[in-house]
Amino acid sequence: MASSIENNNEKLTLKSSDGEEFLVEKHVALQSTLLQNMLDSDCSSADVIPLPKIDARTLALVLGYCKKHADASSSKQGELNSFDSEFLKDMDMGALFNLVLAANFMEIKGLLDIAAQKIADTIKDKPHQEVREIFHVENDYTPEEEAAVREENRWAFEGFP
Amino acid sequence: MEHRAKNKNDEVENQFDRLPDDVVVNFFDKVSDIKWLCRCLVVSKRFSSLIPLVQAVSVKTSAEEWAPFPVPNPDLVIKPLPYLLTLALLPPSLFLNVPPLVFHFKHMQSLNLDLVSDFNADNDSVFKLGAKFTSNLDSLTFLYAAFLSEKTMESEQEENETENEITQYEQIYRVNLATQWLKEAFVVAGNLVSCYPQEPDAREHHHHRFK
Repeated sequence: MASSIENNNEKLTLKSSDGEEFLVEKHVALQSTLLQNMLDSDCSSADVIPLPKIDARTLALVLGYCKKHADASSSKQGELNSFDSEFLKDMDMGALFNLVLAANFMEIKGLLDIAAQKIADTIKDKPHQEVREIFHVENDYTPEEEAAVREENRWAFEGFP
Repeated sequence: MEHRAKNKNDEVENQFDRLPDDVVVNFFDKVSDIKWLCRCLVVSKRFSSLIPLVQAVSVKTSAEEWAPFPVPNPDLVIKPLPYLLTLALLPPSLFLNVPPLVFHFKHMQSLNLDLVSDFNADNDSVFKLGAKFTSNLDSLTFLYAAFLSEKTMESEQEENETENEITQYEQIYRVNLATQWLKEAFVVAGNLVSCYPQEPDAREHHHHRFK
């Protein structure tokens, strides 16, 4: 029982885009399919694994998530769920999208799922004008085009601004 | 280094521009609800080009959106299944409130149809229709709230008594509603089988970047 944990006690070093290094236990790194594949195919022989697209602040968050999920895999699911919802709470959109990019790149499905769900929920509750503001989406329709798209989907806008 | 939140238009970038298409489509998959997807089409051209790629679509209707039908005489007991068999499957456009956009989702792999009750305070669905697709309609699942089968059985036993604070009138109303919805669900299913995916997509040429 205990032996598998002891065997997994090796560590690896990840390097963020801004040059910060993170020492990570292997079983935590395995939450990432990308790192798992690298470890499986022995690409990890390099001392440091660079993650050129992920800054230190985001990587710290990602690894916090991975650690919690790696350590808690045998414990209660409810605890993880509340951790997940706390994890993203009050996070600004810039940080949230950084997290999505990192989770997508590192292939951490659970993290990608909860972050995507949060973004979906944000989209879902807002009028489209507000969606544009929140995510800084430029309206690239001409007024005529926009009116046409809206007219085509008129039923969805009933009782809506 | 430190920027105040003050910086506006010029420096703040479109968050979605940083993400590849498949990740953005994943957001829309989680939005899923067709009404919100349709509203999102108006946000930007990229949104409207990616939304048709969603794989999971939910359609939620509510009783108010459906044409009202007469509440039957409380003395009349409806037997849903025999009643259902007498119904001709009318052309869907006459009956359905399902937006035509559903049939533009060429990548759709699942469709959830929630037929929402208007008599349940917690907005429970009476029926949920789930369909999963491969290249054809692959499977179809009907889920329905437990109270419905109880009521259905009661009504088939021609039970006269009022039970659990539900009057017989309400009970018949529910069964009638549910029967109507089941019929609609069948029509949706029939419509999907015939429309998906053989029907050429009128919009497809706008979305040339997809296969």
